[in-house]
Amino acid sequence: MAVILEMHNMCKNFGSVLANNHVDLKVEKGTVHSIVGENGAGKTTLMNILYGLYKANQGEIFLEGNKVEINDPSDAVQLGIGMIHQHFKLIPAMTVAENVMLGLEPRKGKVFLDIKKLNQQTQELSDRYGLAVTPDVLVENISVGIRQRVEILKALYRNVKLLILDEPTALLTPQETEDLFRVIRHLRKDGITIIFISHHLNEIMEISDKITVMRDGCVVKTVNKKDTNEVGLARMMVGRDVFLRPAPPAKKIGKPILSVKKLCANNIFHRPVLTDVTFDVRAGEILGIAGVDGNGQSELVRSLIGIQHITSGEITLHGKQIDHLPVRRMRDAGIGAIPEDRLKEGLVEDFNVQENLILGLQLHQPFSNGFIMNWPEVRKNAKELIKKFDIRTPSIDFQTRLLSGGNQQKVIVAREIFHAPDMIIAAQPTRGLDIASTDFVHEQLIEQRDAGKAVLLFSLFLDEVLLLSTRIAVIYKGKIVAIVDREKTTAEKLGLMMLGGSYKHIPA
Amino acid sequence: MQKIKNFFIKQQPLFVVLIALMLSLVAIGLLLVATNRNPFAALYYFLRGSFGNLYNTADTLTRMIPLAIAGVAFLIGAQSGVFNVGIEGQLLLGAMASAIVGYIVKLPAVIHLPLMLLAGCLAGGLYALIAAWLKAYRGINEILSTIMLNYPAFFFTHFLVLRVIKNEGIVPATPFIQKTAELPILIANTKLHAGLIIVVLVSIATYWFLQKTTLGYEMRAVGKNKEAARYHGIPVEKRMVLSFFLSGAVAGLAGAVEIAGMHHHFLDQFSPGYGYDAITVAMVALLNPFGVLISGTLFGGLKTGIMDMSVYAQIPRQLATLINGIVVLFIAGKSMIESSYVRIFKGREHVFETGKEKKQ
Amino acid sequence: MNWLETFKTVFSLALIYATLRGSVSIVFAGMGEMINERAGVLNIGIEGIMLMGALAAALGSYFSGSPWIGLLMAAIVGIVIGLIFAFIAITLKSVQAIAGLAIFLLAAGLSGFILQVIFQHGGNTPTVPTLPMVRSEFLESIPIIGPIFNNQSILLFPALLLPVLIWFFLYRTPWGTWLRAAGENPQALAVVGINPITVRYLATLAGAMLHGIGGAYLSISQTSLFSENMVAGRGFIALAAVIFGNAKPRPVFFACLFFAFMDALQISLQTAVPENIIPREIFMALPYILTLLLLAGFIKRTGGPADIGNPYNREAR
Repeated sequence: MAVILEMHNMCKNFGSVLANNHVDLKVEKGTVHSIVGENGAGKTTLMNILYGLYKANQGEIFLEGNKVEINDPSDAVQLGIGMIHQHFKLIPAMTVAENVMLGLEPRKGKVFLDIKKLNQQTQELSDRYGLAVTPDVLVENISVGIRQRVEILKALYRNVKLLILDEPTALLTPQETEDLFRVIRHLRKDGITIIFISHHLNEIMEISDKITVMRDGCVVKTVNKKDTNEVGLARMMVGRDVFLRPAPPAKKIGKPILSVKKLCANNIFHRPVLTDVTFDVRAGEILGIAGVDGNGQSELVRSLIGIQHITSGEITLHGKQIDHLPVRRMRDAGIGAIPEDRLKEGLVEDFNVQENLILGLQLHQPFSNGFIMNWPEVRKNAKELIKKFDIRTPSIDFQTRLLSGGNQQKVIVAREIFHAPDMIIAAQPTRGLDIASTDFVHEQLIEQRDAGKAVLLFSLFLDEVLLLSTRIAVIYKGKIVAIVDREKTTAEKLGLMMLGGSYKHIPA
Repeated sequence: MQKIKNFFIKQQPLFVVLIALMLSLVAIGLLLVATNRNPFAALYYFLRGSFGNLYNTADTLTRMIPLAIAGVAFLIGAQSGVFNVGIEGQLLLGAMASAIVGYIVKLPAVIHLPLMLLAGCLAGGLYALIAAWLKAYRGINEILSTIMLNYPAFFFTHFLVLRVIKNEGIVPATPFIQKTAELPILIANTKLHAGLIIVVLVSIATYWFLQKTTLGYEMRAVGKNKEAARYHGIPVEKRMVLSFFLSGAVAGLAGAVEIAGMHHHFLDQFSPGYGYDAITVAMVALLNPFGVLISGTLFGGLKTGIMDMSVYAQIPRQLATLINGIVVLFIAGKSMIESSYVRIFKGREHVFETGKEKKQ
Repeated sequence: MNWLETFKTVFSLALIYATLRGSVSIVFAGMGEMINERAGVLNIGIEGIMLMGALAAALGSYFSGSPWIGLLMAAIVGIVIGLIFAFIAITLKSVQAIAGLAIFLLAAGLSGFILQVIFQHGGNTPTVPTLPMVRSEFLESIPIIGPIFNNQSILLFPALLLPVLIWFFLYRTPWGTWLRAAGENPQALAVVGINPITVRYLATLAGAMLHGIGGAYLSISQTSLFSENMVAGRGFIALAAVIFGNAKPRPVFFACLFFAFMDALQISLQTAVPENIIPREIFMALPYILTLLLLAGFIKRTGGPADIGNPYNREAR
C-alpha cells in the first residue's frame, strides 16, 4: 500500500523533557493507524507537530512522498491534514452548518451568506458519510457524540486526506464509540487515512490496521494488528522489568484511616466520571492508584478534598463521615493533600515562601490564635522546613513564583507532610521534578508511611506506583478495576488493566 | 553583581511603576511642548504651588486626605481580587449619611463625631454589598456593576440635596452639621483638618488588618490565587464579600471625613471624582496602604500646584485630570514595560503560564 | 393639578419626537459597543471615546466651517483611540476593563485640556456649524408619523438604519459570522485559519468609530457646541443597553430607544409635573438600576457565549 505520511527523525523537547526522541513514523494510505502509549509517551506531541501547533526541533515530514513544512494549522489543513482534539473547537451558539463551513462559507454574490446552500451542502456531506447530522441545529443543543461528528464533518469539508483523532473516545459512551467506529470504517473505505491516538487497548484492537507503540518519547515498535494482541501491546507499552531500589516493605499496617465507599460523581456534561469507587487506605501503608490520565483521578482527588460535588457515596476518615463538609473542615479533619497542579492549586505564587508554607494552616496554632497571625512562629516554621526539606530559596521572603519547579513542589510537600496528622493524599507529586527532587519526595512519602500515616498516591508513572506502593489500585474509566498487593502483581498486568484489558488471559 | 540584579528582580513592581510614572511625565512634557508651553516652568510652579510654603503644603495635605482614604478603599478590594470602581458612589452615600447624622442629632463631640463617621462607613459598605453579591453569587464582573452603581448613587444624593434635605441659600447643600460633628482644624488659617490623623490611622489599620490578621491573609490569598485558596479551605466567596464591604466602608469614610472636616455639610457635587482618582492613587502606590499616603500627597499636590501652574505658566487646569488619565494608561499598559524589564534583568523571555505550549 | 391635562402634555407626540432625537447618539454608541462585544471585546471607555468624538467634531466643524469635516474628524479620532485601546487590551492582553477605564479617564482630562489650550477658557467651545436637519412639508403632513420624523437631524436616519445593516452583517455575511466566532470561541476561528486577533482589532476599530460618531452627534447636531462633560453618562447607558439587549441588534436597539425614552420623559416631566411628585432623578438612574436588576436576575453566570463580564483576551490567543 502507498505511504501517505512519513515522519522522519522527529525530535521535540520542552525544556529538559524530551517529548519526541528521534521518532520515525510511516503511515499507509487508507488505513487506520493507531498510536498508543502511556501518558508522556509523546503521541499527542507528535501529532501536534504534524498539525502545525508545535514546531519540532528536528525532523522532516513527507506527505505522499513530498517534503512539507507545516508552521500553522492552516498549512496542515491546506495539505489535507485534519485533527480532532479532545476539546472540540466548536462554537456552541452557532449551528452545525455554520461550524462546519466556518471560514469557507458559500456565498450569494460576494457579500452575502448563502444559508440555503450552507445547510444543503452540510446535509449532503453528512449523508454521504452516514453521519446523520442535522445542519440547522445549534451545537449547544446536541450531544457530545454528535459534536464529534460535526468536527469530522468539518474535516471532511476541507477535503481531509489524513484525519488525526486524539483520544476520541474519552468523552463517549460505549454506544457512541460504536457509532464512531462505524464512521471511521466508512471513511477508510473512502480512502481517507485515520491516525487514532488512544490508550484503550480493546478499542485499538478493534479498529486498527496498524499500531505504533510509543514509550518515553520513543517508538517501541510498529506492528500489524493481526500480529499482536492486548497482552502483547501492554507489554510493549509498559515493559520495563527493572525498577531500581524498590522501597523497603511496609512494617506495620494498621486500621483503615480513610474509607471510600461507592463514590459517584458526574462531570459538567452530567456524564459519570466516578462510578462506585470503593477502597480503604490503612495506617502505615501507601495505596497507589495507577491509571492513565483522564480516567477519573483528578475528580477523585477533588472529591476527597471536598471541591468536587459527589452524587452518591461516602467518605469517612477515622470512622467519621466527611464527604458533605465544607473544604476547610475536611482538611481540618486530618487530610493533607499535595495537589496535581502545583501552581494553580498548591501555591499562591505571589506569596513569599513563609506565607505559602502555612497555606491552609493559617487558623491553626501556633501560626495564629484564630484571628491574629503569629508571624514569628510562621518564620520559625519556615526556617525549620527549609532546612529539613532542603528548599533552595535565597530567603523566606522570596516570592514563591521565582523558585524552580522542584523547589516549589518541595514547599508544598513540606507543608502538607509536616503538618498532616494522619492522612496524606499525594497527586502526581513528582510531576515535572528532576531526579534528585523526585527521590526526595519518595523518601518523604516512605518516611510518613513508616511513621504510621496513611498515604494515598496518585501517579501517572507506573514506575513510581510500583516503587512506592504497598497495595495498588487501578482506575479505569472512573471505576476501580482492581486492588492488589504489590508483590502479587507485575507491571504488565497493571499496564493491561490500566488500558482496559483483562488480565485473566495472562499466564500467572 | 548578582545581588544587585536580585534586588531589581525583587523590586520589579516598584520599578515598573516608577518607569510608568516617568513615561507619563515625558508624555506630559511632550504634550506641553506641543502646545507651546514650557514643561520645566510647569514643573517649577507645580512644586512651588504644592509644597512651596506652609499654606500650600497644608492645602496639598488637605486634598490628600480624601484621595488617600479612597485609595485605601480601593486597595483593600484589589488585594482580594475585587476591583471596586464604585468608590465614587459609595463615597457620596457615605458623605450623605454622615451629613445627615451630623445635622440631625445633638450629641457630645466624643460620641457625635465617631457616630457620624460610622454612619458614613455603613452607608458605603452596605451599598458595596450589592455589587459584592452580584459578583460572588451571580458572577457579574464587578468593574461593570460598580461603575453602574455609581450613577444611581449620584442621582440619589443629588436628589436628596436638591429637594429633600435642603439648606437655604444659593448653593445646593444640606444644612450644616453640628459643631460637635466637625473635625477640628490642625493648623490655624489653613483648611487642614484632623482628617489627616484619620488617614494615617486608616493606613495603619489597613496594613495591620491585611498583614497581621488571618482574615487579611485569607483575603490576600483569594486575591492572588482563588483556586489555591479554595483548595486549602478558604471560603472564597465570603472573603470577597467581606473585602467588598470593607472597601465600600472605607470609601464611605472618605466621604464622611470630607464632610466632617472640609465642607461641614453635603455640598452638591463636592467630589471632583475622588472615587476615580483613588484608583490611580492606589495603583501608583502599588496597593500599599502606606504608599497611598505618598501617592495621595503627589496627586493632592497636583491639584494645588495646578493653580500656580495655570496662573504663571498658562497650564490649563484640566491638566490634572489629564495626568491622571495618562498615568492610568501607562499603568494599564505596564505589561509592556514589564516584559522589557524582565528581559533586561533576567536575560530571557518570561514565560507566562498559559497551560498551553506556544510555538517556538 | 389636573392629571389628565398633565398626562396629555407629557405623553404627547412631542415625547416621541424627543425620544428619537435623543436616541441617535446612544444608538450609534450602542451599536458600536455591540460590535465590540460580539467580537469579544468589552470597552468600558465608550464614554471617553464619545467625549473625544464630540470634541473632534466641534473643532473640525469650527475650524473648517463644515460640519461634515467635523463628522469625519470624529470618526477618525474614534478609530485612533480605538487603536490605542485595542493595542492595550488585545495585544498587551491587559485586563480590558482597566484599559477601558484608562481611556475614560484620559478622555475626560484630555478634552478639557485641549479646550483650554485652544480657546483659552474651559467650559465649552463657541457655537459651531452643525449638521443639516431634515425638514420637509411633505413629512410634516403625514399624520402622526410625520411630525415625529420631521425636523430631525440628518443623522437620525442612518441611526435607525444601523441596526438593520448590522444585523445583516452579523447574520448574513461570512465576515459577520467570523466576528461572532471571535467572540464565542476564538480558537475555533484559529484552527480554520482566520486570525481572531485581526478580527477583534477590526471590530474594535469599527466600534470605536461608531462611538466617535455618537459623540459627534451631540456637539454638531443635537446641540451646536462642545462643553465639558456633555456626554453625561450616555456612554454607560449605551453599555447598559448592550447588556440589556444581550448584544443582539434588535433588542439592543430597543433598549437604546427605551433609555432615550426615559431621558426624554424625565425632561418632559420636569416642566409638566411639580418636582415633589416624581423626582426626575429616578428616571435618570433608571437605566442603570434596570440593567443591574437584569444582571442579577436573568443572567445567572456570565460564563457563556457573548460573555460580557469576563475579558475575552484570557483565551489562549
